Amino acid sequence: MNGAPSFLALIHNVSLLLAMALLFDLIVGVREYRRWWLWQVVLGLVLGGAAIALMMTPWMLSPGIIFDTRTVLLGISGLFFGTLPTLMAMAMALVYRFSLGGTALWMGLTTILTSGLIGILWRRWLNKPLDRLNAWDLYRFGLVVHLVMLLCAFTLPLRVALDVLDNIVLPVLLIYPLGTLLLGLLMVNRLRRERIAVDLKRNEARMHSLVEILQQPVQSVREFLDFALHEALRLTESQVGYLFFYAEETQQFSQGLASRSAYAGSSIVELPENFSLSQAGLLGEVVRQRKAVIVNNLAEAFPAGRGLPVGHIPIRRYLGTPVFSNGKIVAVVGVGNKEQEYDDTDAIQLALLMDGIWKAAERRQAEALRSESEARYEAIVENLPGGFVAMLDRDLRVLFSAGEAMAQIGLTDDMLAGRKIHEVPGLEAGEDVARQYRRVLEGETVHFEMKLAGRDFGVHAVPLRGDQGEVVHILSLSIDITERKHSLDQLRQAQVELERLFHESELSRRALLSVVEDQKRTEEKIRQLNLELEERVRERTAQYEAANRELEAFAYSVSHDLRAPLRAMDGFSGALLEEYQDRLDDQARHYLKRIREASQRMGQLIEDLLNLSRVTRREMARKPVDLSQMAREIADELQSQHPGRQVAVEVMPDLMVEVDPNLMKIALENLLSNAFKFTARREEARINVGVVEKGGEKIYYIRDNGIGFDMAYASKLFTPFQRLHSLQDFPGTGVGLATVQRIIQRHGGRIWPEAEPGVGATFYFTLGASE
Amino acid sequence: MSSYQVLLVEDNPDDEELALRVMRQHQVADEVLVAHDGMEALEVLFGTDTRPGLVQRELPRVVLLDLKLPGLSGLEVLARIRSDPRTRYLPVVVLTSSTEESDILSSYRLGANSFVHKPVEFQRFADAVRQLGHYWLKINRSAL
Repeated sequence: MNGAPSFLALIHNVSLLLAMALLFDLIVGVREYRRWWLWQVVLGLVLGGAAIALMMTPWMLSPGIIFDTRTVLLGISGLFFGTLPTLMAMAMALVYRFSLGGTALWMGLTTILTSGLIGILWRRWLNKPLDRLNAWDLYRFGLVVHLVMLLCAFTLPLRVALDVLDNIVLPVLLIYPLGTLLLGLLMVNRLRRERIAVDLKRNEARMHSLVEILQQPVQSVREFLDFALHEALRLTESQVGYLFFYAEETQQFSQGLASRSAYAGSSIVELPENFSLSQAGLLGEVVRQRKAVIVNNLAEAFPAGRGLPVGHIPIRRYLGTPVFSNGKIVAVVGVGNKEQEYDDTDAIQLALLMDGIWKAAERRQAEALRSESEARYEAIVENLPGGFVAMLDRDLRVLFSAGEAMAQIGLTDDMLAGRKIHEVPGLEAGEDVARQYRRVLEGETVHFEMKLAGRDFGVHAVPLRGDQGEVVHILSLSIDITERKHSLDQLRQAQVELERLFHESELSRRALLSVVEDQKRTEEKIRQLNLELEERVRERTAQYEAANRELEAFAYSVSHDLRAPLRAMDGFSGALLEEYQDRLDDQARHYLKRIREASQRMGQLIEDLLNLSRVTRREMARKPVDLSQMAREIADELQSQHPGRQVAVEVMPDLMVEVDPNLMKIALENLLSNAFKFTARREEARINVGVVEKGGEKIYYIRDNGIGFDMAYASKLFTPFQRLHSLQDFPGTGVGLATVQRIIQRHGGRIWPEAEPGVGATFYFTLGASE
Repeated sequence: MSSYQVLLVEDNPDDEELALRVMRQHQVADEVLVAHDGMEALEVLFGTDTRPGLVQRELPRVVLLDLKLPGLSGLEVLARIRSDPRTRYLPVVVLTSSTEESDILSSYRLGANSFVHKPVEFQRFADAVRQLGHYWLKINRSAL
């Protein structure tokens, strides 16, 4: 071994290796993933260059057998720089070594290959992050790399190999692993610093997120969590994420929310509302393990998409962490598809973020509840009708006071705050009041009355106790009872007045009762009389009806039975006169003639009597009747019955009346036949039928210039069978005018005569109101 | 047994005799059968267990029916006559002293062919009977 050049070469090697550490320092901070490949290639070229530079300053052991620190560089490169740059560096070193040639060509090539590959594979199979590697780890790595390098010596002819080994084993095993250790420590330290820097940055980011979350003016907890999830994605550099509430008691997930990116490309439109732990895949795993779950190779861990619901977007990497509150899992948050692999830092950051968020959310809810209850209390206190609330400290100073009554008595909280109770303005007998409050300090609950600003208050004071049960404050509730006291007085007065009134009313009531009873008795009497009257009317009606029926029966009998004997008398008298004419003398014939006349007259009497009764019994129906025409027809009939007479009958035209035609005809017949009869001795008999109007009343008349009569007998005129003239002079039954009067009366009218003997007679009649 | 032209239902012997006298004067008396009350009138018309009635032989041309009869009244007799199909169209003339409107109405309601008032004056009664005989026996053609 040549002393000086070897030493220089060593220095050279060390400086190149240090340059490599510098290079590493340069790339560690780079997180530009878009130009990742470019970076890798550049890195490979630089590393390759460094390797060649190392190989250009070797230690010459013997011709063709040279040593350098390429193994250290390539091993460290494989471990720390990654696969691609190392492979490039290896390739460049191989080409360079090949160009050198020499007896140890194969050994040179194999050492390049083995050291680089061991580094690459070591990195792959490493079970902890690079920054966690300790000195022993690195030394062990160096030892393995260089033991393998020594084995490469057997690519030389055996004798040479043994010779070489004999020379290099000790220095190689002493120096090279140590060098690897030192260089590795530089790298690890750099990584650790970087890790700390990154953690610091992420902590800062998390704090920033939390601050932003807390400042976010959101309305609902859900909206708040939505925003929190967004921050979680940002913090963990994830592309998708979700959050589910979880209840340990029921083992149910609920009210999930997912990032918007999770819906893009997913066939799931809405998250399931509720599902149980047994139905959950990755989510459930987080709950079961009660810690963060990291799966960086989801496709391998869950082949065929198991662990994810159908329609879920593909997840390559996954980080899920439980959110605890009071030792219980209350939610699970999951993020996924980070560009790089998830590590414990991500998990810790996510857990810390969610913890902060959860506490904030809970505080928000608590705050909302508290402000709500505060508002409620305030509403109660402020609206306490006619009262106020006060809190006093142990010195009986007013800490706080509020209530509707305060304003009414002109006090405010500001005026009272800090004042001792007996200093309150307007309070009467303050010392007495203070004494009452002191009893509360002893632990009593007291009721008393006080006079404040001229009004009466009922006070209810209770002790408020601290943690150790000692009385710290007094809570006092005061209600204005002035009105109540006043009304109580009024009530008493009213009661006295009421009693007086009651007494009076009782007296009046009794007086009234007797009046009412009298009235009742009278009413009863009237009712009784009415009943009797009705009964009497009924009786009378019945009697009247019975009488009517009897009359009818009588009239019926008369018309049948009284006529038959008359007919027999007349008939057999006639038979005698006819059949025994020759055997009867004049006297006998005269007698028979008288019998016949008498029986015929009797027949006429019966006829008239029946007519009279019929007129009374007959049903009446008023109809419009032309009285003029009716009179003319009757006159014509009479004229024809007395063909030898000359009678001038004058009838006023258009005498329209409303009467019963049948009855009216009977009346007119009687009146006109009378007029005919009593004008029989006049040479120029004249009869007038007409109407005059007097006092709005129509008065019909039938006037003749007959023999007339003495008005002294006028009252007898309408009595049945009453006659004023002899039968010889003027035959008749004396029933006609009675019949006429009945008819006129049934029409509601009146009839009266006007006559003078020898001059004539006039019968006037009215027909009443036709309804 | 000769047939009868007229059935006279009359309880009053005076009226019966007077009526028969008028009919005798007009030579129809032999053809007049007299029933003295309602029951007899129905027996004459419809017969009894032992004796056949007019319906079995030959109906009279007309029945002169008084209304005021002892026992069964004239209106009841009329109702019986009209209720039997054999005598439904038998001419019945009510011959009565009554001039009561109710009697007139009831008679026509029960199917009387005519209502004739017996006047008190014999001459007019005689005229009425004569005219009745003349009309119902000579002029009228009945449905039977």
